[in-house]
Amino acid sequence: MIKEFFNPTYFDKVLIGREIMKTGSRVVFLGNGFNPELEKIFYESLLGQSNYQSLSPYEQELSALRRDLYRVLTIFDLDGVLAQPLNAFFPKIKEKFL
Amino acid sequence: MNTFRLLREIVRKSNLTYILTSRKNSDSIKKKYPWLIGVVGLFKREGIDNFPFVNQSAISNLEKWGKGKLKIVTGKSLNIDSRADQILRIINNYSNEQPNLPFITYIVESSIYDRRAVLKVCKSDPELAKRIVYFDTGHFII
Repeated sequence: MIKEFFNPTYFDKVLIGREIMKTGSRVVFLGNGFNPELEKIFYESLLGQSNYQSLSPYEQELSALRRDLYRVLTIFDLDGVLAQPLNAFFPKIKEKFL
Repeated sequence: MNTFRLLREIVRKSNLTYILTSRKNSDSIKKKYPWLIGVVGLFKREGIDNFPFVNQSAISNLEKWGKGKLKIVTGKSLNIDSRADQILRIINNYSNEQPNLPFITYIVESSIYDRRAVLKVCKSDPELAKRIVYFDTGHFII
């Protein structure tokens, strides 16, 4: 938590995240901005063995159906999630922050 | 979990996966603006893990690896409205393929632009908002 507090995007993430939640969507924060903890996706979604309580009401409805009766679309950002643009220029920079 | 395994699992478990990147397609730049070939040539590596360009063969190889369940979209805009339109277009196209089957959309993004684009998409349609789950890595700086 202390480490996360030094992330300049922390407050933006929390405030905009709240706004998104108000629209009826579910928001999950992965990691503290330094370590993304991407494997949490599988515990917090229908993509893996998820905790039923953590799912949204709409996902809970879908989870009751057979897998071939609903579809899952995943949109992934490459830059910043799967790969770091800064890392392409300065390979050592990621090691320094982690 | 390493990035490759994560991507493989997500592609396997989703019906369709889109990878969005702000990297520019170097081949289409060379074709459209031949006078920029020299500038693009300064960046010798154009694989998927190199910034700021990615070439068509790297994109095709990754899409082939995804066996038709993976699509790459390059040249993501820094404009929030354009990003929101792009996400909305992807979701609408997907929902129109099989309108009778319900679907859920997982969006995994990180930057301040992505966050606002997702907010705009959710505000545009409350029915669609409940079908969206947003994962935010809140990455440091970018």
